[in-house]
Amino acid sequence: MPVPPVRTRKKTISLLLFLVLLLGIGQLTAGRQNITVVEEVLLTVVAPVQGVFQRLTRSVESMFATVKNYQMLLEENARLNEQLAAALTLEARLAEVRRENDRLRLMLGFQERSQYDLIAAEVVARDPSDWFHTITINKGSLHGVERNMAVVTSEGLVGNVLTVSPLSAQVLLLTDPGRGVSALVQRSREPGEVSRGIVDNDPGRPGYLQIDRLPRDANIQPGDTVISSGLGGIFPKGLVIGYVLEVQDDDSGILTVARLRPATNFNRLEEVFVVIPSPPPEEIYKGGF
Amino acid sequence: MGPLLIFAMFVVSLALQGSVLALVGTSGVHPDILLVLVVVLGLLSDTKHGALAGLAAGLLQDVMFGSPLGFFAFINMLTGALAGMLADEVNKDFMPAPVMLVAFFTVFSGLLAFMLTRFYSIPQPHSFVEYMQQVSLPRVAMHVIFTGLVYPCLYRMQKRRLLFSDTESAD
Repeated sequence: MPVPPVRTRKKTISLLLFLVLLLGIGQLTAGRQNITVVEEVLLTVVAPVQGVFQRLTRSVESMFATVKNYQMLLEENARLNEQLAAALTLEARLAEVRRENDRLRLMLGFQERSQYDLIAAEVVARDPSDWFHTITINKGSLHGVERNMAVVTSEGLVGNVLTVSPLSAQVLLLTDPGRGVSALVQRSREPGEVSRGIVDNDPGRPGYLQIDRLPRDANIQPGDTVISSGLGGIFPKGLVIGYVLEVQDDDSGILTVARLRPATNFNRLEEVFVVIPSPPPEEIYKGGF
Repeated sequence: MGPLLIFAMFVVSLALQGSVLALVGTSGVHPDILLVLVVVLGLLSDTKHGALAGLAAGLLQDVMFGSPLGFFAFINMLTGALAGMLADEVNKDFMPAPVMLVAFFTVFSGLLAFMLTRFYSIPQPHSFVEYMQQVSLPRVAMHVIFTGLVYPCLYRMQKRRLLFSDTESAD
């Protein structure tokens, strides 16, 4: 085994001695409370450097916190947006349900008040063209609906059943140009015939009806209520057709015509009643397709 | 200039260790970049300079962080001296060599530190195996990365004799 040079041996021994000395110093100073002057100077010199890095640390921490907060804010924002969208949807549904509830209450009241036997039905389709003023309801022959039965809402007369299938029926609206309803003025009992509805496509403005064949001196004025007279057999007497808007002479100057605002808003039909007549209905529809 | 530069590096390392690097690492284990510097400086110099660098670094750490005076001085001095002894055996241009030695000395210093805590009767929450698994090994990974970053710089500096001007080892 080669012998290390004297110099190396001395170094090794010095190192070991120094290490033992360090251990001894450590053992002696383990529980000390005060620091030496040298340490104090050293700490004084080093403290500003530590301060700089501490500030740097705070900046880095602050930056990380900002990034973390930004991420959290993004997530929270997305979550809140989702909640808002859900709340808006719920609100819309709630409003819809509330309106439906109001309508159904109204209809229920009407059904209970009504002197007729009624079949409640929902409007499931509406003829999209301008040619045929019909709607489809979800009740048919299986529910007791028959052709030519009157269809009403709580507001007034809607029309009559045109065709019937087992589970649905088509209803011809009053606004169809091919139909006529025998009517009278509720206040003065003035007879006439409601005919020739004028339909406006603007959903905000309902279509108009016209009552004609009134004598020139007919007792009719704006605001009067026009009801079905019961003549003809389809529509029972007393169903509200509309309200007089204006009265004027017809083209010949012999008779009087009056423009009516329909009692029913035909553009917003959702639920209707089919009136079950006491006597069997007769077919009086004059137009037809 | 060399000693001043090394001292400045130690001060900055300790300041970093006590601040920014506290944010790095997991489960309370942080890199000990002072130890990495001591090992690298030992490898770039010789036994004497390695021991002196370790002594200075350790004493500074003891003073700055209130550990028993001599605790880190002992560990770092011995580590620096042993690293210096290996200076002539290591191919300094071959990067994996210092990286592996830093890894070895990380475990070694951890072992020393654990033994010294027993010697100074400092309470330890870990058993030796736990300490090695939970502290030393994660620290090895951090030190390997850090050595890869600092060794080339320190090596270039030493080639220009900016760190040690009178080393006994061959460059």
